[in-house]
Amino acid sequence: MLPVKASDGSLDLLNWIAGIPGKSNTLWDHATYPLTIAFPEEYPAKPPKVKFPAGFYHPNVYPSGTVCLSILNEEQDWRPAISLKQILLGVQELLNTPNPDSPAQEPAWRLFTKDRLAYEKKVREQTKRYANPDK
Amino acid sequence: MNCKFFGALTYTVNLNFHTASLVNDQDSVRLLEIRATLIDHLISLISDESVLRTGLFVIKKMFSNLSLLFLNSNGTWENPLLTFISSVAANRATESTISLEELDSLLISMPWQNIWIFTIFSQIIAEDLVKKETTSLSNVQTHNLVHRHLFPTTEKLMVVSSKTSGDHKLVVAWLECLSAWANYASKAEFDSTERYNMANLLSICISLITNSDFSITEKAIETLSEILEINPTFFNSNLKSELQSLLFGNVGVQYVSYFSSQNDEKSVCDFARLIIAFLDSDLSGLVLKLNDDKYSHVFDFLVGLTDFPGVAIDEENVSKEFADFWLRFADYCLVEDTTLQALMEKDPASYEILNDKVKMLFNKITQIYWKKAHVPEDVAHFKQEFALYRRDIGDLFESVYPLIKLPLVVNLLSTVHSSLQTGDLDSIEPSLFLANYISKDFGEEGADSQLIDLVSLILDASLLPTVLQSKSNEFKYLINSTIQFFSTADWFYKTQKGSTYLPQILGFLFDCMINSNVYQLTSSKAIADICNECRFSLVEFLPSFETIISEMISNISVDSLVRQRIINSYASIIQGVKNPVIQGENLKKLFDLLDSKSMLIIPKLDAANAEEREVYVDYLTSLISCVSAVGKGMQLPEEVDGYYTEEQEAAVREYWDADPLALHDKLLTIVRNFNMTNQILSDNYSILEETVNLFKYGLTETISGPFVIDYTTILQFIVTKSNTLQKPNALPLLFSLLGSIIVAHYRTIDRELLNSTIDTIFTSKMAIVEDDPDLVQSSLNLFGSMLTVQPSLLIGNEPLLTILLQFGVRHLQSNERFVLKAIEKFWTRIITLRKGDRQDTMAMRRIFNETELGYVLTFNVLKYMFATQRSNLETFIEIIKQLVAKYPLMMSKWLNDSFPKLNQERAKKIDNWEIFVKKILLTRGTREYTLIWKKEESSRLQSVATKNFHQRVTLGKEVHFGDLGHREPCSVLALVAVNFSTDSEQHLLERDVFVDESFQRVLANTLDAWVLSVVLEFQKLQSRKSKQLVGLFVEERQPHLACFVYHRHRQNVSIVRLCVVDVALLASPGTIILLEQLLVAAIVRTGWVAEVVCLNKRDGGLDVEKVRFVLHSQSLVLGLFDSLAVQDGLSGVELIVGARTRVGSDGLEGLVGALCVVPSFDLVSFFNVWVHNDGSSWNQRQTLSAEILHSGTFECHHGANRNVELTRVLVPKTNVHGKSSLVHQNNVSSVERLTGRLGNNLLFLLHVFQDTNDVDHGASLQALDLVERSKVKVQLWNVGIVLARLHHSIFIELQLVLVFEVRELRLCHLHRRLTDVENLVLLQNVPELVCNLVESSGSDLSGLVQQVHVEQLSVSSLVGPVLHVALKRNSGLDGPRVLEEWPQETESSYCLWPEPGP
Repeated sequence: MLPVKASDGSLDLLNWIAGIPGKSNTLWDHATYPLTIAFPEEYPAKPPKVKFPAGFYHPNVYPSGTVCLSILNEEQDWRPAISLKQILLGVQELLNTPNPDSPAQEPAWRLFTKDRLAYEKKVREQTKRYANPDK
Repeated sequence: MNCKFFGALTYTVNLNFHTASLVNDQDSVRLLEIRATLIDHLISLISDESVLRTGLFVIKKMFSNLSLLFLNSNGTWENPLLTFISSVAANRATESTISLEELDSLLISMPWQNIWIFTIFSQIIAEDLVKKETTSLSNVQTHNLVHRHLFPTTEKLMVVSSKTSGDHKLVVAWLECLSAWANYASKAEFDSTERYNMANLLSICISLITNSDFSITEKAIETLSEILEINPTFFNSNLKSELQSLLFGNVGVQYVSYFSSQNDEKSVCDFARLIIAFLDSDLSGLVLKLNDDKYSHVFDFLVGLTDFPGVAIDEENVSKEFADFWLRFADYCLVEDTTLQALMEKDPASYEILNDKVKMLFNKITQIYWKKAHVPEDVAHFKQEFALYRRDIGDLFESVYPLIKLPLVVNLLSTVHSSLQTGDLDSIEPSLFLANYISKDFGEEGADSQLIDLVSLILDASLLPTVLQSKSNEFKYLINSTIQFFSTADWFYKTQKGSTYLPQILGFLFDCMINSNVYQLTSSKAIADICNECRFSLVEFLPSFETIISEMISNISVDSLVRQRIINSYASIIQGVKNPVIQGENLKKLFDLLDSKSMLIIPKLDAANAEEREVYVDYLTSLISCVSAVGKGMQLPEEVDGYYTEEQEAAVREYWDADPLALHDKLLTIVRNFNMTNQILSDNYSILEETVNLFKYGLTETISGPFVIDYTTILQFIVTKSNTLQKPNALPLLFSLLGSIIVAHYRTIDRELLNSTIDTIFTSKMAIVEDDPDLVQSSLNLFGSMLTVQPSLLIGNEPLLTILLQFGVRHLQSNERFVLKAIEKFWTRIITLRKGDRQDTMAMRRIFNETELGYVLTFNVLKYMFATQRSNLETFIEIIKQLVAKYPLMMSKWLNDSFPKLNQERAKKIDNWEIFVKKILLTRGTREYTLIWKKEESSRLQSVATKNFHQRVTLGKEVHFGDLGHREPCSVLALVAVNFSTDSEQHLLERDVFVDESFQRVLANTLDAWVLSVVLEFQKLQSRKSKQLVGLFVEERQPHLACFVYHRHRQNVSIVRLCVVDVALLASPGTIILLEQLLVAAIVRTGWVAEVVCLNKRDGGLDVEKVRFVLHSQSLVLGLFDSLAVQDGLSGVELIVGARTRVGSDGLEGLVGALCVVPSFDLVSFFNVWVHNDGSSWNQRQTLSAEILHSGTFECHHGANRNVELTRVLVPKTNVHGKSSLVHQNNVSSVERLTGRLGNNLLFLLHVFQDTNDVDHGASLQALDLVERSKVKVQLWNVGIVLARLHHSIFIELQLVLVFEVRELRLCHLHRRLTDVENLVLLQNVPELVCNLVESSGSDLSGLVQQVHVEQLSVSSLVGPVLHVALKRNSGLDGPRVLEEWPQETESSYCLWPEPGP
């Protein structure tokens, strides 16, 4: 996980990029999913905004790519004590264990709740798109 | 022995069960008996040689039991270790303990086995203390007890133990005990005010490094590493210099060379870990040492260790340990560069030298790691761990690049070039691999001409052919790294020179992709990226693509993603061609190919077995998605104006209207083949999805194009497809496609055709649609879209409208969120008819007014709203809101008719609905409506909450407010909440709400016994006037209330209460006294404006005279500092009596009272340091404080008060008080005030240290530790001062970390979504107050407030911090309501404050 770096090497500490490796032995394995983390000035009083690329296929990711996770929601479970590691682990965990009660995009949610095989197929296609180079 | 162990275990179980009750019952006799029994058992166990030999686990279990007893003793057992030692000495359990003074002689007289056993016991207690989780209050008591009694005994024991000659295991136990205590001490220092001096023990530990027994040396090294990692501040300067001379002196060198010669890499690795832990604690010091030649041997040693011989991971891990370290060091050099520059401002030459040295150092380091990154000769050794190691090296190079800059990449690429010439292929791979890490983020600006030339040179030297020839497995990393390098080198292709190499590079990538499955994904991605980035440069390359495209489409085994990527790449290039003729020709070839290949497979489907069929269907799906992807790729940019010249655009239109190659027909043929010819494909969701997509891509185009198909043809497709679909699951796709057609063509669409299409896909399938929520949702979305763009399309179709209205009412009962959203859209559109013409409006009015629709809709909305989940309420609210707004008169009737009928149906009746209806109608659909509605919802929960409260009162439980053990009966009144939804502030002020004297008078009279929270919406109240009013109000009310306006950066109203929940003592012991006197401190922050109130508290009550308002950040700090009258060292610090107000700074002119600007609340944002730098000792004291003129600049790192000139700095007066003495003002020959961000300032500190002989280098670490984010950020806001005496020659004033939590009342957030309705649970009438306060009060505002007081306080007084009702949180908010009535005599889980201890 690295802060966004300008060409002169200076760091933009409010915007970080990270890669979330899919958990081993899950559909999401063997790929690293790009993530941007934008910290508001008020961090840690306010949570960072965590985004996958737009159109990321997951029931709890909005079409814009923003991750819908209670610990990232100021009005839900965000606490200033939540560390970045916990956030990243939370997002990694979310990949393979979506929360159908909190849908953020319709296509993935629909297939996840109604046609699990088709959902898994879509996830596998996405995994290939973000496959690790050495795989 | 096992039997004995189970006996011990039985004790554990019983102790766990019964100790707490014995302690609570204060059954000290019984407790003493148990203790004595355990000790007697232990004495007999340790006297038994066989147990000592083979049954240590039994002894340890028994020690755990004693430890458990101690931890639960609530402070009644002060020193278990001493008790045990005394008992062993007396050979029986005894309560009388020997004194510490006698302990030495007693221990010396004992056999070493006893010392060993005692050490183990001490270790077990320390470990259990770390594990212990208790309330903060009893925790602090325990920490105090341990520090006072247990640690001194342990220290003596360990000192004696270190001198005792005994078995090897005694030393091991000693080291483990030290480690356990360091761990505990670190925790205790954070949790309490206790400070541990472990120097003595650590010194012994350091001496063990030179022990002749290497196993002890290793253990000592491991222990020291652990402690340094846990808390480096335990090491004072003496210890550090001792350690430094050991690590980097002869001992270290000999140690490394000895173990290297013994091939004992693990020992060297452990040693390296210790060195790194040591250096990590002082990176800034290390940077500065670079400039000092006397430390050059240190860096030589580190470089030598990094270059430890052997293959990384496989044979050595030392370089792995150092990779992370060098990365941190490089980042440090980079991030702190400006600080270094500032530090050496007076000596620029020295800064330049330092820079050169940094470069030289990292030159050496990168060379070492370049070597280490080589793929092992036997690629089987290239394991996952090695891959991670190489990634770390890549990160290191990325971090080092800004320091060394261009030469680093040039060096790597030059290596590639020279290796090509010498045929040393092994050196190419790591060079490209590492160069990629640096160059991947170059962008166009990053491309230096030297690099362009170098890459060209490499390509001219036949890099790619050379790599391609190396296809055996051992070169797979070379190929992969080459692909990776060129996939991100757009900085190279985008230059004129680079673009000439594109064919060569693409040829290489294609070759990799086609000839091996291993590289398919990476190379196809590289191709897609390059084609996307350089489409205009690749037009010439189109013919070369044809063969590849043919292969991609024809070869069924090609991965579908790879196929799609390559066809996308092809489409990207075609799209870049503005000549429609060339576009058409290429598309024709592509479509022909796709068509012919698909037609080869489709006929085989029916005869294929299941497995083959799956492969075929996947392949065909991939082909149709390729067509769809081409459609997407061919879309014109959103800003089409200017994309074509007029001539070009005319040519495009003409070409595609004429469609000489009949591509539209071809496309439709493909669509037909995939959708109509075979039932397996026809029912396939993905194929229809891609087909719908490709139609949609053309629908939004403004100019004719290959995918722009006549809409009537698409309608025809929809009808045909709908008739042939055997499974309805794909029907939503057709609804969606029809919706897109309507949005694109609503002005011109043939209504008859549209109606018949709707009839086919919806009306005739009603039976199917009704049963499937997805179909309900998608069809409602379709009709919602029609109503959005052209309501007459639907309203003009009366039979359809009739069906839909019934349909819309029926599905209000849905439980699916997406269906309800579609319902909401449908009904709100049909009620509001925003795009409707007069005819539509008249028609709908007639239907609502003349039929039962309005009533039926109202009734059903209410009915299902009461049954739905909380998170769905908004849907129903919105519909009612629109009905009220649009049909206010009729709505009254509908509501009045609906509620009685609802009550007939419901078991639980809705009371007082008439009042509710009146209120709803009064709002006329405005925002207040929502508030009232929320109240209504919340009131349903009210009775349970009230009952719980009374239950609590009955039980005699008080509502407590306060902290630090104080008990203040307290109630909190949420009094004024103003809804500003439509009012400007000016408007508000005109209403005289806040200037009304009677209002303030009422507040004054009402609130003597109350803590008031005034609620204002932040954005509307930013004017000076409003702040002034609030300031005046606060000023007037001091000290009886702590009043804060708490603003949040969002559009809602919050009622908040701010309570101090904890006060962290982070520095010298005296500070806590200061903090304890601050009962309530609160910050209101809006932008950089904050309001701070500190109330001093004595004797459990608020002290009128001790309120202090601070105006400015500097004033905040200096002001508080100013108020410190130091008595008896810091321990006597107290706030100076007497409130003082000041006029605010420029930006806050006219403010009186509690307004201030603070730089930041994010931890310690700055600190001041006083250093005596004339070299003499500072142990004098006993002087008065004085002002010292200061000419420095106070630099605030953000906020408005940047670079404020300071005119004075205060140094506290100090008294002689042993070790706690502070800086003696008289001796301050010069004072350096150093401010800024903490991180930057650590270097300032170091600079100071460097210039001061009598300086503790550990001080910076201590400062760092004080503000370690993870420790402090658990709390929401921090502000204040921490006084830290880091060394007797350094005095640091840090921001006080006053940790408190913003606690929102349950009744807050009036504008939040209804999902948070539980916040309103106790708020019976405040919403009405909010809505009506301004309007209803008229001139008799005070009367209103009184009325509120009388009527509502009985309710709002329940809203203390200890509500006896809980709504458990469900993050999804979809579960059932969970307001619970607690069983009798159950405490609230919300009780934040610990009950005062005994």
